[in-house]
Amino acid sequence: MEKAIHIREPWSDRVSIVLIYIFLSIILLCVAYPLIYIVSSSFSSSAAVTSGRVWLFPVEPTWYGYQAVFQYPQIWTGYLNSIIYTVLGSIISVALTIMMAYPLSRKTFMSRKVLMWALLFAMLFSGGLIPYYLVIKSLHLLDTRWAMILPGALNIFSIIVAKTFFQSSIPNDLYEAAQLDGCNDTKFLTRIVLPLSKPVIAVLLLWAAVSNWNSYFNALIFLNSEHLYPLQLVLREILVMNNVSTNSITLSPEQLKQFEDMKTLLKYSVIVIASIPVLILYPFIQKYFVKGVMVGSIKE
Amino acid sequence: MIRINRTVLALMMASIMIILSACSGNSTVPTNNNASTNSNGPVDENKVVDVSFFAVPSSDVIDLKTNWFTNYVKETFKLNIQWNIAPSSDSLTKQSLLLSSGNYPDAFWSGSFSPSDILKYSQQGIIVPLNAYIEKYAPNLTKAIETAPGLKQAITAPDGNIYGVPSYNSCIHCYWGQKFWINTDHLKKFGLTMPTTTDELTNVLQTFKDNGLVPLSGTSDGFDLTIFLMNAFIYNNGSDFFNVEDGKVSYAPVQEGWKNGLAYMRDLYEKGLIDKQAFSQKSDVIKQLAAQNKVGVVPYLYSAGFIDTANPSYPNWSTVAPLKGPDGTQYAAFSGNTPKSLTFVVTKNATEEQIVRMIKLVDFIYTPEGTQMMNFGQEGKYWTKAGDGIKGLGGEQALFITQSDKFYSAGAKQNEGWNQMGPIFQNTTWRNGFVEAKAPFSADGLESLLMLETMKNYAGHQPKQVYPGVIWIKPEEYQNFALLKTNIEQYVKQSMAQFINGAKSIEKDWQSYVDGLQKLGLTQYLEMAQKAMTAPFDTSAFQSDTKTVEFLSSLK
Repeated sequence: MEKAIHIREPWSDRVSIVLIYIFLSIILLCVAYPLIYIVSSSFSSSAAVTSGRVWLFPVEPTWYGYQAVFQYPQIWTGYLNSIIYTVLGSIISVALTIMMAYPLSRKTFMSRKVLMWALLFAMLFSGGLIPYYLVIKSLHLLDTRWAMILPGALNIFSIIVAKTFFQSSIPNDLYEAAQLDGCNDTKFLTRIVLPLSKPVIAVLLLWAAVSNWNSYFNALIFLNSEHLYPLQLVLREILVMNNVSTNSITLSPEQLKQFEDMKTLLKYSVIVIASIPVLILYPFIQKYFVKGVMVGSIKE
Repeated sequence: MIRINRTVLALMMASIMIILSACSGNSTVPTNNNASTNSNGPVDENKVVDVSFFAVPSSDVIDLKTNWFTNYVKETFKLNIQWNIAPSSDSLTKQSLLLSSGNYPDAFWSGSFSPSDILKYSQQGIIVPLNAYIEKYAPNLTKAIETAPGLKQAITAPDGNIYGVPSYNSCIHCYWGQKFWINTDHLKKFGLTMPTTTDELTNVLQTFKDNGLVPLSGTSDGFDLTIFLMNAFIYNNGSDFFNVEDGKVSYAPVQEGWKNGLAYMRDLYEKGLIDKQAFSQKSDVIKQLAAQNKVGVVPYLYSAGFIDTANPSYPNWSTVAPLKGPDGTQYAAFSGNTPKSLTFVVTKNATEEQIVRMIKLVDFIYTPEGTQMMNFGQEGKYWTKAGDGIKGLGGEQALFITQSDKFYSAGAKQNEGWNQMGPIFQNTTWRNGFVEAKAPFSADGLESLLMLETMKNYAGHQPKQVYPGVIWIKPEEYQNFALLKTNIEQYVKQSMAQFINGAKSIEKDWQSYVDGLQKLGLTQYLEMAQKAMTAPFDTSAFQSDTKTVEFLSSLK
């Protein structure tokens, strides 16, 4: 290793590094440009956006789009609701997932095969929309916040991921060693497994948070009151519905025009505002994606 | 480390407790009241009763619960409405889910029920007939059914019952919604006159193209340019392609005229006179082209949809009257053939008392004043009664002065009215009288402009008889009909694009195209359509009116 530092890299390596950088830069450009475009558009006047004069930096900078968002009460109740659903939903979801995955990862757990099979079955087959709706109705969850949190809390795919993680990175020897020191299963889970599993918890949390934040379909079918709507449903309302077509012909031209104008006005600023929480979440969780948690935990 | 774990554990435990308490506990039971409250005792007229409504609110309404008109309904009609809200983007999904799960409210206030839905749900007993109540409690509605064109046809089921009320909107300019808008400034600049025939249009488009403009564009998500052009060869209503002659239904896409129309469009396309993107791009692109003054002709419902009213070139955009084809054919697509779905229906959950009050409410809305209050709220806020001498769109005394520019400005929020949610009655009297006529190209003159352009260029250019918008097909047959309809219409549209862009040759492939339609079951489809039509829709009441045109043109 010491020597390798002094050796000049061969030409072929340098060329390939340059090529890799060029390639990655192109990808960066492809990913970053739409984001920059949307942010720039959100600060530009809507006339400039519709006439296509915005391509990189804001044209005729204005706060008008954001002002309009601030005057739109549904967006704010939706925002608050989405935060509630995301925070509560993610915590519950991760807690349930771990409580399910840990027993399944233990070889000493008797019914793990049956349970696993049942879970896989439920992952592949579902009862369909109407039975789903009837279950939620019979549980009296309709039109409550719980309808947004509970039905999707247990994601079977996440359970499998967590279970595999426990199986592969928590050696059985560790359990035996702990047992010798007088540790039972609960203590082993909370004091040894969980601290060692921060990466997988971070992943589960991120998945749960993003899917909770983006979900709208449950809200659509289970919620009947506007004050419970999450942000995504409000956004959908603003961005999707307002497409002019021959079907919306009962509307008067004033109303059509109102929709059109509102759409151009709100579109970009609303997208920016709705993306902020998820963008904030990433760097905080990313620091847990560290390797080597297991180093030195056990000596063979 | 250990402390952190304790907090995690505590959090987990807490969340479990919350779940358990939520499951066992006191969460609100959805209102599925009444039914049992159906007592035979004397009804207390002044007691407010609860009623649950399915509704799709307009996005400018702040909160239906605290809305002024909701409160007005409570005080005047003694109905305390519990709202069951669906977002408009997916209201149909939610409506059918509620109906098939059995968890429906007392009434669907702003639902959408096609004739076959009505047949299906009435046979299942989910929705109830309203005739007796309408006769007894709804004089205005009864009168409207007799007089408003198409209304009676739309709401009377084959068994003679009335199961619901539509949102009736006599939107004259939407009836002839397939308009071509042309930038007259470009015409002047190149010394051209307004095209009146297909050949003249070719000529105009060619000149536009030679001068670096996009001659004729279109959008995939908005208005289709082929409908306007096809009408110079054969009547194309833009929706189901049915034509009616002497009570016999025929299918336009297999006629000789259709073939000639395709040949004309192919010619335009080949010469580059139709924008290559016209069939795939979104309306955003058109807006950019129009704002940059780069496009000549745009198919759209209204010009303000693709160009800002504040743009200096806005007054230059004017409609092109239907073109005369080589054999003199000159039609405009007409969609005023009755409301196509019902908005308000009552389910079997509703009690006698609730139904009576709801019908009284609907009856109130079926007056100009009622629709006005339901749309815009209390007098004095967004509207006032029109004083003597103030003229409406038809040049006659206006009923109201509505500040529609304020009410409908972008991003505006209001909590006064329901804004066209539910069974409105916007007949010609109301529509011509709800605003003061303003000069067509002023910022608040949109209604005037569209009325003027429609009356001047389009009204009356439809055939005397058209296929009715409402047809009653039995639910068991409807599925087959709908399947045929989807397949056939998709094939027609797809082939049309192929004929125009040259993937299919009109001379060589026409016969195989007609054969293809036959294979898809065109004969059976036409038979069903013929059987379902009890009578053709008579369009003689929908004519141009020179008085209106003169009046609106005179406004400055």
